[in-house]
Amino acid sequence: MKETLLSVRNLSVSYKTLKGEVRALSGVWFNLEKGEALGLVGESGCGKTTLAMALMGLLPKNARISEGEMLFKGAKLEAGEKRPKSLRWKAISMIFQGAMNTLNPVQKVGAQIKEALLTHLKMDDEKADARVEELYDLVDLDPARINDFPHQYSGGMKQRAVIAMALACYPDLVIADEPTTALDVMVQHQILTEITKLKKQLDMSLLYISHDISIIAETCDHVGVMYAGSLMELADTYALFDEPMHPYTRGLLSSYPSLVGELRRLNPIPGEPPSLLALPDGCRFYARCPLREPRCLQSPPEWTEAKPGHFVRCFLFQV
Amino acid sequence: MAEADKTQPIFRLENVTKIFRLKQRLFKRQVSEVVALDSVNLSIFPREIFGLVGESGSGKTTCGRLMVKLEEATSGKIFLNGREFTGIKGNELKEFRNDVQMIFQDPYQSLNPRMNIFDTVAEPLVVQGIGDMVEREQRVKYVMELIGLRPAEDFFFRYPHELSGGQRQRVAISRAMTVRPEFIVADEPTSMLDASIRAHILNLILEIRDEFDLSFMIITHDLAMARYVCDRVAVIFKGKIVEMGPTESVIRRPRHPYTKALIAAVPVPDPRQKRLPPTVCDFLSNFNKHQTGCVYRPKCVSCQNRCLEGDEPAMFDVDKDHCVACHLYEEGVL
Amino acid sequence: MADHKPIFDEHVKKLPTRKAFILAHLAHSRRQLREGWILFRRNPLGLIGVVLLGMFAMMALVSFIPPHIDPMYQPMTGVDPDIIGSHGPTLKHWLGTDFIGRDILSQLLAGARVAFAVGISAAVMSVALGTLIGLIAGYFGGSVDTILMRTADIVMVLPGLLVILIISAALGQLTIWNTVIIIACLRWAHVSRVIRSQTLSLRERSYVEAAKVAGAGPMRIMFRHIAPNVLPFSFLYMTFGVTSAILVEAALAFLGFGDPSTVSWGMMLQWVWKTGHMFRAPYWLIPPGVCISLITLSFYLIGRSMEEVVNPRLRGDA
Repeated sequence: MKETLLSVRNLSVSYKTLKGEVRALSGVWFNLEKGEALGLVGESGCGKTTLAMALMGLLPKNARISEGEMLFKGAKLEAGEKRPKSLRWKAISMIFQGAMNTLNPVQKVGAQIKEALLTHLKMDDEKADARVEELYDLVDLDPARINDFPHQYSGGMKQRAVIAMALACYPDLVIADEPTTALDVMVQHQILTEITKLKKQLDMSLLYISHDISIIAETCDHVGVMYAGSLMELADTYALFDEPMHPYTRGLLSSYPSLVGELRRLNPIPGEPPSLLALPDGCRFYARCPLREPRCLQSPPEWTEAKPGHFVRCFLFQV
Repeated sequence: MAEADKTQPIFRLENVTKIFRLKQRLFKRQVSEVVALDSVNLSIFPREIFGLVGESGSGKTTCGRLMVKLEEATSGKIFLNGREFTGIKGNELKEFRNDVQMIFQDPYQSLNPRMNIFDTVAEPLVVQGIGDMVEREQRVKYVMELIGLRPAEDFFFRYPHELSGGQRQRVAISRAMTVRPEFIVADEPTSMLDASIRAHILNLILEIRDEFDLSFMIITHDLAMARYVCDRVAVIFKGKIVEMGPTESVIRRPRHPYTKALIAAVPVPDPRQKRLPPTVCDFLSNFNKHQTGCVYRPKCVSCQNRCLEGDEPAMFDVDKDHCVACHLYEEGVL
Repeated sequence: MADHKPIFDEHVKKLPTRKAFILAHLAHSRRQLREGWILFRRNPLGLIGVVLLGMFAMMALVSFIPPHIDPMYQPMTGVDPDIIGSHGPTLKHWLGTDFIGRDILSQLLAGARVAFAVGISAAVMSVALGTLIGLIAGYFGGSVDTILMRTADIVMVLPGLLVILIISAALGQLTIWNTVIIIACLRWAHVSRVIRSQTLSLRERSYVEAAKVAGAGPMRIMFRHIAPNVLPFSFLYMTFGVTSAILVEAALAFLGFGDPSTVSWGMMLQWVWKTGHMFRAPYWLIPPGVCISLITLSFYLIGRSMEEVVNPRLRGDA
């Protein structure tokens, strides 16, 4: 039995905005084991970035954890400022969306990675330099380019540098938030191959967040489907694709055109995701669900284990 | 008016080249230039959805802009319905704008945030002087409801920031449709939309094509999307079309090394389809300091000596309507 | 080729009328103003600015009420023959009188009127001119841009006050409206630079390209698409423009180049100085100076708070 690295229990996060309280996350439950890659897929507004921020301790000031908790290696994870420095970047690190823009344009790339090492691991100069070279090797970047500036790197190279930075301090968990969104498909392929290789090589635990289910199918062992702030389904990747349970998952899967296989008509889900300011009382997917029933309106369904290892939040599977 | 001749292309590019000249510095003799498109030949037939597939920097966006006359070609000719429309002005340009419209990539930027939806959709009519106030209202309402914005009156007085991405893109499509064009260029129409909305818009495009006898040119980097929606597809690399043909043919039996690499790079929504890691080409082995030969040689895994010299390879036919610009398929080679 | 399909017959239903459109536009403007106000009032400095401004506006309005004491009356035919010469505050003259017995408070109130008139009209003219030039330079680019911007550079570099002084010396005495026009002609350059850079970035937006593809010409694009998105910045600069106009007018009056038939705060300062009462009559010296500073401050604070409304990126939260 593998060790449970991250445990998110009934996590709810809300933001206070001018227009009211936005419930960005509601009742999220999942466990992440060591060496496992969990993919979170969902459309815009589903809360996946908020979840990543909460895990990293980067929630903005007007956000608060209204319910639930996050446990890392058994110990509670504080949000934001209260988190001890020892955890930052060393235990959990992140590859941000639009990672190319997270590199400081006026600082050499190698120096930026070194900074992370000096700050968090308190390495001395020599050791840090050696580690930077090691990292470059790890992500297939030419060590001769350590002292170049970000604008001298191509998009793919910058992304690799950002991955190197995330891996620098030997993190237990890496959160990747749409790391390949802005890249060309060829470069994306290279980066995904890289990530898969690193995962095997380092026995890395990975939380991969994306809106593209194809990428997740390729890189992750388990998949969680999010909608309007809640996790709707969570299962082993093969199980999810073979037997999607939640109507949203089924709808989502039939929204992606594929390059292989038969050319079949897409049957997407009608309507739009609900506004997070005014969520319905019952199941959030009610308005767009082809299988809705009156009981779905009364109260939100429970998070149930419909099959071993396969969790759903839907009345159809509630015992 | 006789029925449109189905074998005559509705839109045609003949040897179109576009070179961007970057600002010349004082006292510097060299003018740096970027060749965005290099002798592109394309034909799009009536009721056809044509896909132009390429990565960033391939020139596909420039091609689209050229086709709606946001840019002018440096050389080559453009034909609409058999009539040449290269470098036109005035009334001819007006006529062109009545027949050719565009849908932009970013639904958040392609609508003026300070104009309400009605004004936005009605603008082409106003600018082209079509109809009076009443007629414009009728047309706008009709088009919007057709595209799925029902009831249209609810949307008339709203502003872009009140709509979702999918709705905004529908507004953009309505805007393009109000003047009843014959040909619409769509530049990455769904890349900024969520997956389920994307599917709706793609189905919508198919419906509009059927309902209104329209032709489309879809510019995209997403091969899977192109496969779903396009009848014919052209693959473009650094300003040159390297392969062109019916979609299924190009995707099932790609010929050009670039097309093959592109197809291999697209992730598939099925965990059982394991993909091979990308084959990296050794840059130095294909190095050619004279800059002649095939445009793809720096990355081509099948590169041979012949590919390093002389002109670009011509387009060779390999199948019905399917042609490739690659020396490997020259007569007598395979 | 839009005629081979009948499209309208089956869709003639109840349609919005022209009136509905007008109402909708008004409702939108009202909504925008209200949202802007909510954002604006979050900033306490802005509110202070508004309060101050309100005070001065009251002063200006009050000055129109037929005064029981006329600020300019001649002492020979004056209302109050008892007072000749400068005296401190009394019950009758709340701020005292100047060297020929004219009431200082009335002068102050009348000065408020002038400050607003000059400040606002000069600011409006200079911003209108600057916006127009900025739009044209930014949109057309090329040699048009170069010519206009180099002109702007020259104007910006000119020492404003000196130029005004030279012009007024050449023209003889200046009227208040001459002053306004000259200020406008010298202050447009800064605004035009800002508007030009905004135009440059807006020009590349997709909705401008969409308008081009629809067939819109440069005029329509400039005034229907770019201008509305640029006007918030113009309004912002107008508030700053008012402060500078008021200061310039005050300076001119103080130096003796103002319009002698108009009472303004600067003029009052000039009289204090010229008649040697600077250190003898604080009740006469201080009020106009304070008023100039405060009104300038109020416009500036309002302008600063408006920046947040105008530029969404400066806002604190989502």
